[in-house]
Amino acid sequence: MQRVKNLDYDSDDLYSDDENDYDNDNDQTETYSAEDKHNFSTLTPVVRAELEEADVNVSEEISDKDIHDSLWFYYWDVEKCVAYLKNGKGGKKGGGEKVKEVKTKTKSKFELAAERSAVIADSIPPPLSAAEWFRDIPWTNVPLYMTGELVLAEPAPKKLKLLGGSSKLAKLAEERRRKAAAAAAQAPPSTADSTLSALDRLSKPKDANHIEPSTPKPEPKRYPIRKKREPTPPPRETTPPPVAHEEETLDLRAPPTAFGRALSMTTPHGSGCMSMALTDILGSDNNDDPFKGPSPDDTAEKSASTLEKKTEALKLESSGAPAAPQVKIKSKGLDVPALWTASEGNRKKSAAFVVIGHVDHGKSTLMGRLLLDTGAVAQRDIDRYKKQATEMGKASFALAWVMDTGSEERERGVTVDIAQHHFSTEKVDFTILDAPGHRDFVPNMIGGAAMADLAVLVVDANQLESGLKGQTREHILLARAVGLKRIIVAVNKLDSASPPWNKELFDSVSAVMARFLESAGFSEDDIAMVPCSGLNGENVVKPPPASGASAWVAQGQHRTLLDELSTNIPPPPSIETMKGPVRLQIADVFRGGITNPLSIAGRLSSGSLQTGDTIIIQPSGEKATIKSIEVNNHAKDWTIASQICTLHISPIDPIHLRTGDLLTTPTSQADITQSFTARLTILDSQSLLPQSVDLHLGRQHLSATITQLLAIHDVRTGEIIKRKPRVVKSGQCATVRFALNESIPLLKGMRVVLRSGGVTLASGFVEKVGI
Amino acid sequence: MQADRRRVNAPPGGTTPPVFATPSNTPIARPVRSRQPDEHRKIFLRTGFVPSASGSAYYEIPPETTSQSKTLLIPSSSSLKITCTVHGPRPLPRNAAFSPNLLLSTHVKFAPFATRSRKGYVRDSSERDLGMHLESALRGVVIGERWPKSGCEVVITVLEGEEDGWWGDAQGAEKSGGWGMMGVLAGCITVASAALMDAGIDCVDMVSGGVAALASDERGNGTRIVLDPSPSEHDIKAACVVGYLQSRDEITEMWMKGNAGVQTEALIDEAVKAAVMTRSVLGEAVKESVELKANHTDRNVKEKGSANDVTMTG
Repeated sequence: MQRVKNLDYDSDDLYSDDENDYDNDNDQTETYSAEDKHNFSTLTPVVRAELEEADVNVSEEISDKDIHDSLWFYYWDVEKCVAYLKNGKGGKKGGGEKVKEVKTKTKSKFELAAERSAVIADSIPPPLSAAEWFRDIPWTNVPLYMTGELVLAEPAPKKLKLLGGSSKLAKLAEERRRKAAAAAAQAPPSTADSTLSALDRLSKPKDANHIEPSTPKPEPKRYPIRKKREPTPPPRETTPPPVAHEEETLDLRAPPTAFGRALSMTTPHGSGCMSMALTDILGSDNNDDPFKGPSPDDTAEKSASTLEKKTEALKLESSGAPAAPQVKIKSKGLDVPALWTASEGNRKKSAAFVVIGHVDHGKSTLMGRLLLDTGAVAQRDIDRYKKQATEMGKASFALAWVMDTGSEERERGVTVDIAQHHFSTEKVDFTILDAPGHRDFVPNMIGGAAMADLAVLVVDANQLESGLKGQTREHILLARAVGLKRIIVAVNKLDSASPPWNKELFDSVSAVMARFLESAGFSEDDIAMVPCSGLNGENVVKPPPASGASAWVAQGQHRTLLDELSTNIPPPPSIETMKGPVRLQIADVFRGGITNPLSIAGRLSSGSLQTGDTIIIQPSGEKATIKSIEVNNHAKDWTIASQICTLHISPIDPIHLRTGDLLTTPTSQADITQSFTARLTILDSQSLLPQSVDLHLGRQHLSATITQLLAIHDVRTGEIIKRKPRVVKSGQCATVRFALNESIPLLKGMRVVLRSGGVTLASGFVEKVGI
Repeated sequence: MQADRRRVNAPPGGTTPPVFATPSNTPIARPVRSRQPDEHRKIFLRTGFVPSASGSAYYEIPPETTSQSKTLLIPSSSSLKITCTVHGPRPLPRNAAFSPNLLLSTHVKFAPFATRSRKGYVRDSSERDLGMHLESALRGVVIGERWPKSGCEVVITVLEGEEDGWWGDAQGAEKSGGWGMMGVLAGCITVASAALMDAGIDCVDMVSGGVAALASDERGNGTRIVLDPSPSEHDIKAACVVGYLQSRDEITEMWMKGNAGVQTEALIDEAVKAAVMTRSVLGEAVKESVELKANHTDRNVKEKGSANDVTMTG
């Protein structure tokens, strides 16, 4: 007995397959067993009775044989048998015929195919004539309803798949996708309600049918479930506010109380109050109010223009955006040299002097005394300094603190950087440049001396020897090297000599100094000796009392320091220098205040400047404009050669400004070079080889290399004695070529000082710029 | 002890409070609720009253004028005035630890004069408690992931708080503690939500606060649930505040006080109903502020006009 399905058959052959089984069965069990026959006999009437009940005409349609077959087929199941027979007869052809056909058959597949083709052939209509065939073909004029439209079918978007179809991962993914698809297809559209138990259904609230049908309810719960509110369902009002409320809610908005109105009725986001600018408060010119122009009070206070200045500063601050159009300062186009000569008569003379000397010889104190006695510094300030100095245990330094403003300078009691101070007498405006005496700060001293017209050498009468070995000597040489011609020797601290105001001591000191100065190159006429005491102030501004230890000072025709200064003022520079190219070495770069964010100071060595001039900073080459000029702390429209001035300049980045840079005008720029030739005089007990040195050009100091010793000259005549020497010895004069590490602007005739290892080697001037 | 100079201090000496003579026959009666049980008081809400803050709002329940308040100077029932400012989102201080989402901090402070019993300048426990409740209400709506490493401060100043009971009921005011807090919290939630909208902080929904109370029925012996109770008008047994998101049907904050017994669920539902009512005002206020802002920017754009044109230079 074959029970294996033949898989080659189509699925619709399944039935016939069974029939085959049945057939085979039938063939083999042609003779029923006794038990079977007994069953037939007992069950056939039962089936008939059932069929009769179902209104099927048994006698006509169904034979015993059929019943037997079906009974045998359904293995004595009367119920199924009846259903089979009933269906078969109901379909009119039914089971009986089928069974019969089966019994007679065993049709082959080929026969079946032939039958099918025969059926198709029957349905083919008879041949038509050509006219009939093309009856409704509108050959060219196709009516609108028949026209079609070709639509380009978009290729279905490819589903993303993992690459490498053979990989395990891809297989797994594929399998999962297949399973998901199968699950989706299998998911029966069964209602969830059917799975709910009766108890659940009872406990469900009235809107249970709102629940999504796919809600999984795996098994009936033992207890009735309370409906939970879904956290994120589509907006559904579980507690819908009644319509009456909906109308009420509109009325819920109340008018504010008086307080609320005051608080919130201003325009939102303060368009009114926040836009009030500082200019509104201060009252600028452009607001149209009836009180335009200065009030009477303003005109009264106009002279005290400080307030106005402050407001101006505030305005600048408030409109601090860099994009704001800056007020263009126009040059007034003044003929400065002409103005200078015109003001010749009613102008005070002016002079700048540098105070030099050995450390602790009392330079700063002497200058403090000078300032105090001329009235440039109030006694009150000195008292304050004295108090503070006493607290620090340095009571004698109080006067020095006028000049030494830095905290470090005050703490150490040593001047570090050049201090600049102004004072004026009836005839002369003076600028003090207080140079540091310590040897570590000699570069600063050179810078200060380069700006001065004359020098005041302070010598401690009691410590002449230490001074001459130390910085007194070096300073004298440097002062000479930077081109100072006049020198006043202030023999200081005579009050602390033993005995005080020892005339012999002063005479010996002045003799030594005169001798030394002459050897250094100063002429006798340009040297003046002043005995004085900085701490007590004797013979500084006021002559000492006629009686007492210092009476000889007045009797000996020794003028006071101030008198000496006033008489030794050098003549103003020539008109040619004033008309020459603008040359100013920057001595200091600083922030001059709120209105002047960037200021520079320095001595104008030639030419003239006025407000509004365009200047160029070399070597950076950046342009700037002069906003305003200050000379001796007074605002001026112009400045001229030999004046020490402060320039407030505007649009330039401070990184382009360094101390020692040269300020020129676009028309008269200096050459920027890295090499130059200089004529040098070697100092005593020094020698020069091709070596690296520290080069000082006024305020500028930089390292340079001597590339070549070109020639040695005769000191007096300047004739060349020897070309290309190997070494230049002390006292000799030589032409030397330098190479610099960086490019700087250089001018012919500029004074240079050479130092190395804290010792001054040589000094001279630039002979030739460039190679 | 040195007085604190940074604050407006009370006068050093004692002052005598003014006493207003009232006719002896003036009845001092407990105020009666004139509204329906499901009727909310009217609310005034406006945003953007502090221009320097990122967002701000002012919330007010104006006092109801009753006949009694005309005869007596003391108002029979309190009103509620709350201001809220939002500062942020702004970067966290440099020394703060990394935070992947917005750090929300809330400060609730009663003005010293806000309640019948004067409050101190330092936040007391009840104010800190309100701040915690408010924070939990707001945390559920703010989408914090959009601002990592940022903080946002919600500062609430209660200028006038709800009274805890009727002022005439001397011992009643003593014993019935804290019913006014419930109304204040509901107001705080609403006003903070408006201020957050004004600050432009992304939220999933507008959270609105609602309060309902179980109060003893004046007419009968039983109890009834009233919306938006004014504590001076009721003998409150239990009260409930919710912070409710209407469009999402979520509750971010719920605070229940007292024992409501079997009516707990009904009480919550009523509070939610109150929140829905408040939300209508909140929505209007936000809409108003957005319109104003839109007009403002429109005007700005018009004013600037060609000034915004950029010339490209190569």
